[in-house]
Amino acid sequence: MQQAKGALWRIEYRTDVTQANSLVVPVGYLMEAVWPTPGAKWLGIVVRRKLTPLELDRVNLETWPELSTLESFMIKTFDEVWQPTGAVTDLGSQLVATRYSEHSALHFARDSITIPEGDFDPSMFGKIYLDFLELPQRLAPALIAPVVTLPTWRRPAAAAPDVEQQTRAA
Amino acid sequence: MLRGFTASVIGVARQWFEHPIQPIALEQAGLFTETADGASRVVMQGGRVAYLKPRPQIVANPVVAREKIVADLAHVLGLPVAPVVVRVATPGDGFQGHTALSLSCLPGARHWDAGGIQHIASVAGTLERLRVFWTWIGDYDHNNHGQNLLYEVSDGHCQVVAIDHSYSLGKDNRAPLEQPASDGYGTRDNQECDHPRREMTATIMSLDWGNIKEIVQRLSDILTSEEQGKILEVLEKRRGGLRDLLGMKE
Repeated sequence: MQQAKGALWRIEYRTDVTQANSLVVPVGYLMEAVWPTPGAKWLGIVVRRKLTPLELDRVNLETWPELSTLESFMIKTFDEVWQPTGAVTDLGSQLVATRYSEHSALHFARDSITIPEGDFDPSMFGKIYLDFLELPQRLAPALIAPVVTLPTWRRPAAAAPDVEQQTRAA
Repeated sequence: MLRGFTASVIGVARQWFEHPIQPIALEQAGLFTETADGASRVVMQGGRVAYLKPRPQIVANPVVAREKIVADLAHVLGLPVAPVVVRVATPGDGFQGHTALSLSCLPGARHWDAGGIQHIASVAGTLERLRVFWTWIGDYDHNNHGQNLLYEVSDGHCQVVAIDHSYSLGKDNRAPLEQPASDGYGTRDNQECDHPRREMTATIMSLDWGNIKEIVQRLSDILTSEEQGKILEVLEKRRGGLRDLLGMKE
């Protein structure tokens, strides 16, 4: 019997891949688990629907135009992972992730994942789903517009009686 | 062809060309890949990112030397290949042998197979020049290999950079003329590439043989004279047969 295997990918965009201290924009997570025996697969993706305007200002949209329509790009990626060109027992995410390696500004970084041990049991899906639900909280925007408190407007008091007003009052 | 590179990349490229073997301080910033030699993202002083190969414990001098020689030849020819330097071994932190350090060049880099084909018209000439170069050095890892070519579009200009050239220069004891012409990235049959093909071929033919020998022989710390001789034989014979390999008529 072949061991179950899985992968958790942290999807992020590095605004300057040549510099270590550049801004990193969180994009999403992709989680996949495969049980070669009997042949079962679990796949989940959680992505931000769109980047903030300040984040988009830092994205090279000429090279990465898909990041301006993030949700549809990630849904397409999900579909691609679900139907990989390799063997059914391969991790489809592994194949797709090769296109977004350490050299790439949009990067699939591998995080640790725990796949329940033992023979496949459909109840394992529930355990994985609980882990999956923890992921969205890690997707806070890297840049948001500052909240500006506007001053309360008050009518200034006249330093001296206005001549025209005074005339009308008379 | 290098106009898309920033001044700092060009500065590092020059310094690495002039000083081919150096001690370089760095910090590892990622895991080694599971490829044959393994490669890892590293950070140098000042925060610049580069990629290091092979993984610790492996002494792979021919791999390191091929990466360096190819990058230096490309530098002389003005071709967009990521600059490489040989980093002196640091057994204290596990690197038993010298390693090859390849500079990260494009801030918004994207792998060619993740969308590059839509820009082929604007970079066809550069890709054909690279194909001539790959044919000369007997490279067999850039035949439409989507991970070994990066691109970036900035201000309407598409810039490509080729990486990973260890499968070249007679690797696996291939006979000098055994490797056929490189297929490159779809420009071989493009008639508009005739001029860049001829131009790059002529440039390679005009390179001073003494300079080529120097680029190889200055790596004597990591290459035996026999290994140097084999690499030079590949470069000499393939240069002599370059037009035939490319199917060019006089």
